[in-house]
Amino acid sequence: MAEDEPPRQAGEGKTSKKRKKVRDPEAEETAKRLKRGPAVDLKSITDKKLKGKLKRTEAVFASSQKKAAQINEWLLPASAGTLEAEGIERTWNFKQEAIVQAVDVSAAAKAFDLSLPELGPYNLTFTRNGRYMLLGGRLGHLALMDWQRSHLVCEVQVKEAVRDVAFLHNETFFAAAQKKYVYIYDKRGLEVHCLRDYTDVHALDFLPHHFLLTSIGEHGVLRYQDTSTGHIVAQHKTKLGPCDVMRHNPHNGVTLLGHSRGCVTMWTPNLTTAAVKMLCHKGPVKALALDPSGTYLATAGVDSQIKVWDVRMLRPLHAYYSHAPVTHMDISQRGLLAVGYGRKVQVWQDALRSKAQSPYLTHHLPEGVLETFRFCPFEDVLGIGHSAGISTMLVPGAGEPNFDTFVANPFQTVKQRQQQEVVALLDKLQPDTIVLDPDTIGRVRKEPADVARERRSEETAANAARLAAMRREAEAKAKMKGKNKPSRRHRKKQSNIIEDRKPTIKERQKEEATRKKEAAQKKAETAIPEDAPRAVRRFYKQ
Amino acid sequence: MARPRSNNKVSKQRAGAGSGKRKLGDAPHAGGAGSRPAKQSRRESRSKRVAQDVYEAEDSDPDEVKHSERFDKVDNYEYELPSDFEDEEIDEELAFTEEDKKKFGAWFGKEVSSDEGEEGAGIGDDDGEDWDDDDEGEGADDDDGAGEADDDDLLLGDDDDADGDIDGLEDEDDEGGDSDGDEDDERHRAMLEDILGAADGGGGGARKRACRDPNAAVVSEAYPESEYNLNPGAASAGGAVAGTLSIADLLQGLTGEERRKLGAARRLLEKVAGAGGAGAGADGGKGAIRPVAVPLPSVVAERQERKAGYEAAAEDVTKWQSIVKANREAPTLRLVSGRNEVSRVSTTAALVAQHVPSADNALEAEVAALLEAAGADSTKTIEEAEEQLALKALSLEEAKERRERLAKMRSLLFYHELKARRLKAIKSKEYHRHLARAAKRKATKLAALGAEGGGEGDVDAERAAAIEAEYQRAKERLTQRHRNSSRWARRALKRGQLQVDAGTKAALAEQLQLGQQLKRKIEGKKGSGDSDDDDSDASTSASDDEGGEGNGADKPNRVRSAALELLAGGGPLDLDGENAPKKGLLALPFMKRAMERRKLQAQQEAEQLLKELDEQEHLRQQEDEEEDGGGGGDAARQAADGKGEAGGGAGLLAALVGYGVPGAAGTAVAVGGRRKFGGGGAAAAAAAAAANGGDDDDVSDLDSDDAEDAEAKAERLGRRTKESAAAVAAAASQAAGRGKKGRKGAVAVTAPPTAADEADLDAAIAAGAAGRGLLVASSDAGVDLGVVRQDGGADDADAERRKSGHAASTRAGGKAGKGKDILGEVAAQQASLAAGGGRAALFEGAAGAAAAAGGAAGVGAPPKFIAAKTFGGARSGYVFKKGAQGLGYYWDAKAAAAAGQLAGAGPGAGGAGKDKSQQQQQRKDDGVKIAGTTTQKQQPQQQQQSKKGKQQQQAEAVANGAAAATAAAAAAGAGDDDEEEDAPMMRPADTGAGQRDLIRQAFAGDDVEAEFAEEKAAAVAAELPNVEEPSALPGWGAWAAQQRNPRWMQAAKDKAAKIRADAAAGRKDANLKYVVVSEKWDKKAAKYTAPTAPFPFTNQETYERSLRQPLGRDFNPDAAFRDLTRPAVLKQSGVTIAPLRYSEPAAKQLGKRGRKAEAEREGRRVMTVAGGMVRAGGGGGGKKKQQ
Repeated sequence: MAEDEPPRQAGEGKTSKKRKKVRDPEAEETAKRLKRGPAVDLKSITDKKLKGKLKRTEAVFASSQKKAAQINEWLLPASAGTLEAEGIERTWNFKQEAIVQAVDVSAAAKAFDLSLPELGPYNLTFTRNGRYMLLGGRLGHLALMDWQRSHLVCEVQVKEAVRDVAFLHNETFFAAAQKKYVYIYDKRGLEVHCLRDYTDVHALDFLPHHFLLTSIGEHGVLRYQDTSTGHIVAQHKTKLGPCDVMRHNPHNGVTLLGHSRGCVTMWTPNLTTAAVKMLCHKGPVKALALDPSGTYLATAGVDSQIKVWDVRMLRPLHAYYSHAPVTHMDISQRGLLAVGYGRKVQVWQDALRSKAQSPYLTHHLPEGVLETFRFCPFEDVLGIGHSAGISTMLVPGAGEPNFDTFVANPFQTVKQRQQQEVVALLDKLQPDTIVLDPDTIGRVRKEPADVARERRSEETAANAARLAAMRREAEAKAKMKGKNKPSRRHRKKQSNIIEDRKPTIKERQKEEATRKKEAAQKKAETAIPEDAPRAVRRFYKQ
Repeated sequence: MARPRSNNKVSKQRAGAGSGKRKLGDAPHAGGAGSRPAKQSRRESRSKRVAQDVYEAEDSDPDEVKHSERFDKVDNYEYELPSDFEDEEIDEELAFTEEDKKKFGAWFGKEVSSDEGEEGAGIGDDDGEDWDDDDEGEGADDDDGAGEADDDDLLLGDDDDADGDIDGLEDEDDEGGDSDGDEDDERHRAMLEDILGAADGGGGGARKRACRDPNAAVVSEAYPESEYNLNPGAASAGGAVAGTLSIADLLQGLTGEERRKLGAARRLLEKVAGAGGAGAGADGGKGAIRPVAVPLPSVVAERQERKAGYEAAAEDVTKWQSIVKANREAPTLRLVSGRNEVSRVSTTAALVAQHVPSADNALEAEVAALLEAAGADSTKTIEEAEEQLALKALSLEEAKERRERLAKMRSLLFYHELKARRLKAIKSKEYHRHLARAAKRKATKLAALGAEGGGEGDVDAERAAAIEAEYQRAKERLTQRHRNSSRWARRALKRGQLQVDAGTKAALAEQLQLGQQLKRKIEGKKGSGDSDDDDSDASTSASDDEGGEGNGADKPNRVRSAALELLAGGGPLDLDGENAPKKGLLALPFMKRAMERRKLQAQQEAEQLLKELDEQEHLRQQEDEEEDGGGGGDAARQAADGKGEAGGGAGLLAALVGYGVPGAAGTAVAVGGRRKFGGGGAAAAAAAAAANGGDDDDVSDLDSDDAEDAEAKAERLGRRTKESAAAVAAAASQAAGRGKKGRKGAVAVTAPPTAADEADLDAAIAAGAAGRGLLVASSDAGVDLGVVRQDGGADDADAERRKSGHAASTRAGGKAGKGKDILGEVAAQQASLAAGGGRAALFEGAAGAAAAAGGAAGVGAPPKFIAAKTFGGARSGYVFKKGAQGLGYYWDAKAAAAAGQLAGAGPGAGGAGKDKSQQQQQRKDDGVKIAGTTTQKQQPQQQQQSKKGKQQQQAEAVANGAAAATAAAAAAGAGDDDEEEDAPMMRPADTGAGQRDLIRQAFAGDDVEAEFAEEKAAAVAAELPNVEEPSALPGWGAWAAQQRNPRWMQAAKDKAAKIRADAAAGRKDANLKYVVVSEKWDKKAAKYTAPTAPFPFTNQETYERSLRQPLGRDFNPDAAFRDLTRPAVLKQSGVTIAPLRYSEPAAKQLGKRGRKAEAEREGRRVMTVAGGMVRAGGGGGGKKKQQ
């Protein structure tokens, strides 16, 4: 016992010390996340000026991170809740009716069925703040509604097939892929543009930070159209046949397409070939979904498999089976995966990070066949478009409870919306910035040797041309009079900026240096040590 | 001086050359005419040592002679020695001994000596360079001997070495003898001239010239001979130094009448002449005036001025350092108007108004109380009272009148003030003209002053002194120290003498001294110039001396010497000697008597003074000893004090004598002319030298200088040791051994697809597993790549699965181990697999994975072969042998069956160690179980397939031996039945199985993997680096028989192949069979990246880390956002950016050291500059205002 005690005490001491230090693990995690990696190692910097500068900025960073961690606590007042089953209950046993009865009135109002049997099946989508819903009936019915207030903003009957609909940067504009062309309507339902550059579009998507409307269709051509300037930024032929599965990665803006040969491709406007092409399924890819962090990708194929991929590593994490090929998928803000086919919809919780064993919720459409569904941002609602109209389903814990008004404000006023529009335009990212790893932007990226060579040759050619032009100009004006006018002197000075002899001189200097170095080395090598006996000397190289 | 040291080699070479030249020049009269650059000759012409002048030897041959010589036939170009000439062998190295060098040092190192002189005057290297470009020749003394001899060889042409040397020696001898006027030497020279045939001692150079160029004698003078350009040699008869033209020479021609007429001017000239003679001769001639020294060249003077200016400016600028540093370091400068910063109270009235008598101060309080009692506590009340008083005494009309008068007066005053201000501001043409005139007058006056005085001394010393004086003057002009006009001085004076402490007093006194000294210089000059006889003038100038001179240590000495001189009966009052006035007032007898009297008195005084001086000296020595050399400043001050007294003594003396003590007061004046104020040590030394030294002294001086220089040089060279090479420590590189993990423990194997899965389909259908659930968890361990074909030996796929799904596998294992659920699960797997496990074998991988999860339940099919290098223990169902696929474990059905039986016997065969939570989770498992139970019945009938379980279990369960397990599972399934019926949607869809089967069949012919592999290969090949490969068309460039692949070509091809293979292996997708990642260079995105870390950064990592924090408002708190994005300069609109002003407190605070102060400075984000002044504490407060 006596022997045992001291170590225990020591251990206790440690724990007590630790206890003092230990903070809320969540807060710690937040702090770590906010730190964004290790700080600059100031010790290794020799440049005093730079060191001073970095020291200051590091101090600012640190204070910023500290403050942000504090603020984080204040800014996340609401926590997400989920359904929890007791005893032998299972959450997937809960019927929608039961849930609707259980929740408060305002939430209950969000579950509704809209019976529109004539013009279906319906496509639908939400604005980024979740306030507006856009419906696109296959038979030409377009409707924009403030769905929570059951307020129809506008309604159009375009009298031709509508294949897909998409909101532009906010609810004031939306695009519809119709029978032949893509049209853009404003919130009054007036057609403001007809995009005749491309036809037979099956799927539309919008990149909000880049203001790019992406579309793909019958011809398998992916198009990026800048909705702020109206230009087509890029058109890529996928050469993989017709395609109607398109989503974008919210993390990096890369567009993902699902193709009929089981491939999923990732595209950026910069590259004419797919940045990534991966074979996911045996049969055609029917549905894609990405989680808001852009880390997880879920794919569903006709081979009845559902796979979850880690986009960063491009490796599959889990695979699930379905008894019939899943035709639709979506991932909510908090990472709930919804899958569906026919009349069935299942929502899975924690199915991305780890392998879930059972669904979280199941739902059976009372009428109609599933066409599409989308989670509503910042709401615990899944909007379902089907052949008989629109239904919504309550999915507790689907939406992000804390919204960031810099990103999206569900309670946006008109003024705020206008402001937001301007800010978004000012902060618009150029299409070039879409790359697989957005963290590389601003970083050092070594260019390949041939690219560097080419660039250098271009530079020298440009320099030579400029010099020649300047010389020509100078010759043309070579008059003796006013030779030393200030303007002239200034021009002369300017013309010296590019020195054509400098590169050769530099090269020569370099050569000289290397030669000297070599010579010195040689000398050092060949030097015979003083203490070497005479007899041995001949073995040294002279 | 710095140059030879920096590149010793070059200097040596040059020295060699120079010495060679000098050898030639050594020949006395022709020295260096050819070899010396123009500057040198200029310098020589400046110097008075004309005896050595090259041009002195210029023969006065008439042209005819020259021509005749030119045109004469020359019989013999060879040099002939005289018949009686005796050649003696002189070793080259012994030609000049050390003694010779000492003796004839002037010839060896003439330049050196001059340099020394300059240095002695304390003037920098560059000056020396300018004066004498042959600086590099300094090293000449070090290497005599071989180099010299060689040079001689070169230059002398066909002469013998020894001969040349001898000539040199002899010539030097001549030189030495010349000054002595030795007759022997004269004769010898004549003989030599005869021998050499050179007219008038042409010497080596001339001789050489003669040899080379017969017309050499024609070209001689740099200047044409004329009355303006006198030949100094012509007048060599009279002067003290041969060849100089003295004033006496000029005056000689004057007749008596003319002399009388010239009067004062002649006297002056005579005096100057006397001084000149005296300078060269015995004594400094007390009454003599020295001619004005040549003013320094403007270049030198300006340089001194610049130097002084630079120092002053540098000192002035340094005080800004802390402010400028802080300014540069501040992330943001905020420029605001200084209006608010300046205190509003600027007038005394305002100050008075603000004054509140403090209660602490008794006097103040008392005064305030008194004033209040008297009703005079404020000006207003006083005024009111006065007004009332005044009005009271007057009648109404008078009062009115008075008020009007006052008003008028006030307005008049106001107008006057305005006018005065305006006038003051006007700077008219007349004003400028006046200024210019004044300046001109002043300049002429100064010039006149400068024309007088001065004398001749050692030229170099004088020059040095002049330079020094120039510097001092420039410095003085810049600082104006003598005027006591600085703010500090004014304040100190204002405070009054009583409060001044000792240090301040001394400093003030010094300033006063300086001023007086300057004044004395001006006046003294004037006085002595105007009339020597003016006693009062002289006495005033002497009494001005009282402040003492700045020059320290020699002052008392001078006083002492003056006193001694007085006592000895000499000195300025020496009336007996030649100095005695013969005419004028002083020549009158009563004046003489008075002088006599004063002399006596002065001698007494001098005695007293000497005594005092001795005492002082004694005291000072004692104090010096006490302070042990540390308090040099104090000692100096005391010395200065003593000096002040001494100076006073000197002044007293002067006053008594009626004449300045030349040693004490006169030196500075004597040496430098009007430009010399300071009269530094060098000047004094020069004067002393001039007083003491004759011609001989000069020579000896040079000698000693040379010797010293040589010694110093030798010392320097000796000190230069070879630099030892730094030992370079070789870095030992460690070979990092890489241990490879044995795979055997972790082999995750999934079986290739089994066709038998088909049977499961039936089972599933039969069971009517009609769960409506959409998804069934495939519950496989690793990630199953349905698309990747699992060949028997597809280890890499296995490995991938192993890695990615390690955790899952453990779970699966755990699940498998759970006895109760095992079979239900297995059955479920089978059911799901059944749908996919048809003929097409499309989902083999999936099936395999599922089976793997099935693990111990024994549904898995083990791989046929596990590669292993060594035998890692027995594996059930495997035989370790060397077979078709190499060494490893081979699947043996029999052994497997046996093992399976064994394993199956135990209920939780595989699941020895699984955790409870997992079990619970498994229990919750839903639809799967239903399917499991339903298929359970068919299970035994199915063709049994065995699959290998997961690695950690290492237990293979085989279906054959799973009967017991089946039974157990059946029981478990039965137990779960009721629960599972509550999950109707998880039943397979009605049409599910059939559809799936159909789908499988539909895709049977599609080999998407193979297609994809092809595509990938093509894509990779397209992106591989373009390596050029040599290739030869068969039949081209070679005979048909030689169509083999040459070795070099093969090597090149191999190399290219290797490069390509490396590139392919380095791709991101190299290990991902089902992924192609394009590695095309994204040119458009390249503009958002940096090819290298930008300038101040040297490290990529540092650069990238410094960018890690986003700057936007979305990512930062408000304060941090503003800190991060604030511009470098903030400026209030409409504010003039004032030039930076100096404020001492701010500078002090910003210059503060220490961690705390630095942290404080670093923490400051904004530095506020208000009205050009850095606000010391500001910045933090400024944050609020901006933005």
